[in-house]
Amino acid sequence: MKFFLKKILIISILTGSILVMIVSLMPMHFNSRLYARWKYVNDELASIDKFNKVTIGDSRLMAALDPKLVGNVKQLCLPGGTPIEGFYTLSKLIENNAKIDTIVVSYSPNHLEIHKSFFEKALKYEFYEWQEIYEILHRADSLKTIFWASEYRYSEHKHSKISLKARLIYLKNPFYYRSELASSLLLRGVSNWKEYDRIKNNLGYAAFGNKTQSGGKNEEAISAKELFVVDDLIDFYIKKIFALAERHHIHVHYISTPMNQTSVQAISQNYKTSYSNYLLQLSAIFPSSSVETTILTYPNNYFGDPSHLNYQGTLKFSNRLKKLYF
Amino acid sequence: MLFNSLDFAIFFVVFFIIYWLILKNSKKNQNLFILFSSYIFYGWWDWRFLSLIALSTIIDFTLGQLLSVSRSHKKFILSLSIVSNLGILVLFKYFNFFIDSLKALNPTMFDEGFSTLNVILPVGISFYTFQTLSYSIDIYNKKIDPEQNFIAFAAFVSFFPQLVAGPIERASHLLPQFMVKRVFSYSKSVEGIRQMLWGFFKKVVIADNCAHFVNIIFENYNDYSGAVLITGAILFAFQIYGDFSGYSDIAIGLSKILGFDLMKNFAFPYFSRDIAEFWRRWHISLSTWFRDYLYIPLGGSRVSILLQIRNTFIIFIVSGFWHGANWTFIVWGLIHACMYLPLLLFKSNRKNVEFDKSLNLFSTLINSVKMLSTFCLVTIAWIFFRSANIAEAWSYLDRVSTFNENYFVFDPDLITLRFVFTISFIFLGIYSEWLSRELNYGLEWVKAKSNYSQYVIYTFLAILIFVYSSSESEFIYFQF
Repeated sequence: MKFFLKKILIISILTGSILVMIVSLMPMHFNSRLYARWKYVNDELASIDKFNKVTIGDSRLMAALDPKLVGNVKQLCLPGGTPIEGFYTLSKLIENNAKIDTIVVSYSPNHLEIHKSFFEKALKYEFYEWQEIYEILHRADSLKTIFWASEYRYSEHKHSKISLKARLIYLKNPFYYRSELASSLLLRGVSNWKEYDRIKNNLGYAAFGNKTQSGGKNEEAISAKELFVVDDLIDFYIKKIFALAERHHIHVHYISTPMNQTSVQAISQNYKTSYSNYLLQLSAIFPSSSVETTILTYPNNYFGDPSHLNYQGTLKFSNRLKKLYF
Repeated sequence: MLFNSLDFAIFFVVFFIIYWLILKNSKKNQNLFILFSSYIFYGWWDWRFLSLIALSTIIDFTLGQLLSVSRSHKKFILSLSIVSNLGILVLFKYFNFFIDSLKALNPTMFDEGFSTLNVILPVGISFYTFQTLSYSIDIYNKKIDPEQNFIAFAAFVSFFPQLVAGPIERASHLLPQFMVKRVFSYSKSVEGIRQMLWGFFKKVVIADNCAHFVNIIFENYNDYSGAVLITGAILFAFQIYGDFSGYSDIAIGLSKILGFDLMKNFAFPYFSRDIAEFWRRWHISLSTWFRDYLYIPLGGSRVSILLQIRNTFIIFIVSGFWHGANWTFIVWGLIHACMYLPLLLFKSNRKNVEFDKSLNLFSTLINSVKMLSTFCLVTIAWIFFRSANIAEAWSYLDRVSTFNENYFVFDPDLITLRFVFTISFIFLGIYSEWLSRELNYGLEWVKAKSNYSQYVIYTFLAILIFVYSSSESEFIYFQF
């Protein structure tokens, strides 16, 4: 029996070692192209450059602003990112002595309500150091709030599970990377590197939808919530972004990226009002910053998918930002 | 509990340790432990249905004892066994189907308030019912003596490796194995692990990947061209084979590790050169069950040609109906009966029994054509097996057979990296099974390779299985 168990053990160790090596050393080869976009931001944060204006936000801002049309600005938006990642983006920028004087910040309402991408993107895409993860989990624990998704209500009992899961992903446990490995089998390297180069050349701008128009409903419209309710943890971090910027004399423009007509019509008036009220409250707390407090609407033909602008929309929105803030 | 789940992995490790390290010297305790573990295994899905297995076990054990002592009421006792076993099966599996079919035939037959039963189909009910039924029939036919040890009998009925999806074992083959001392065998266990590895590859890597595309194509068949629908049917042929034969390989491999030998259930059916050969290679435990307990009692092939035709149709229709309470399965059986008929009439149904070992190019070519044509026929029949109802199956076939200018248009959304992988895995599977075509399972050829090559192949398969097992999907045959 010893010999049999030894054989099983050898195959298990071999399999495990190969998987750990792949997951640790070849992330560009099995992750989706979103990884390339997060990697771009990770790499940019580690380098110092001449730009003194940056954007911090999610995929909607990423697709809405072409830095080449504006000049002297670099996009550091993260697809699926929330203000939690936004805060660490800013603090890493400051740590690296970047000469930042202005940041343009924007998050879609749904990224202020739930934190879906903490495990699936931020942790898997190596955005955080363990100390930062510890800080976030500790803060989430003290706030006793809904943490990363509405279906998982945060509690003492769950804290240990969340912490363990975070540590296992951080340590590259292959169990958490199976779906990415399955859908790629290490064949995504070439296209991911191309995507990385493309986004680097475009200073962080990336298109999402490529349709000439989209009349579909975005996530806020699909969820059909009656009221906008900010997540406590996200609220904590968005305020930390403003406070940190204020401390370092960095001007913050919190802007709204456009929604298509179909979505705006589908979202309830109460939701729009409660969202605006939240932004008004932010504006009142941080009077030195500018905060756009209403939802901006563009016609459907400016959208490449229900949530993101196509290039025609990007042109229009980039020119708007150039006039207002740059 | 699914074989392809973390729950089962933990369950089996614990089972293995207790079974081989703690209870190795006591056959009685091992049997008791198998029984206990099998009930946990089954109860994991729904503990309420454990009572059905327990009931079936008690009835057949008691009737088995009575059959051996009774001189004048044997037929009555056997009927009691058949009625009680089939009664449970009919109640849970076919009752609603009969009522719905009768209602469709004559809507006024039932009162307005009469409704069908609101019951869930217990997993694997058709498998263990047939297994216990064969026990009673074999005692009646004096092929075996009734088992005196209740624990051993109960362990035989509920033996977890094959409880929910077979192979459907005969008491004469499996039951005696519970009565002998089991000693851990290195070579048998390695054989078992190797067969399990192949079973997991077929289920997790081939079948589950095929299922992704099959579900899309069959659920939206009106949106796709004929070429896509043909692809969907072919992928389903590999899905159902990978799924079911994969389960059998895992069950047989697991049993080997526990010191048991289960019967072979698949013998590379897609290498068959005619339908008769296909049925000698596909779901062998069920087809031989029907042969022994239905076809031969009906007279088999020793009756007039007309009766032989009748018997053939009965066997195939019942076999189809065994799979599920739906007309699609009956039509599937009927199609196979029709395809088998010419072979019966021309007395060529036993023509292709052995693999052609000659390396003659002409015979190889002829055999390839025969294999391909048999596969095409089987695949057409699978369309009925997979479709939700007969109308859908006809409509699917109609679109396949109607040529138009868009017939070969392939939806670019389907040609993903995953599609390419799936096709590659199917070819890998076919190649490996071809290398093992005269052996017992698809990976047996590896045995002859060097230790180094074996480790490379096992590790490669283990990585693929690990990667593709992120979503635990049920085995198709659980529902039967």
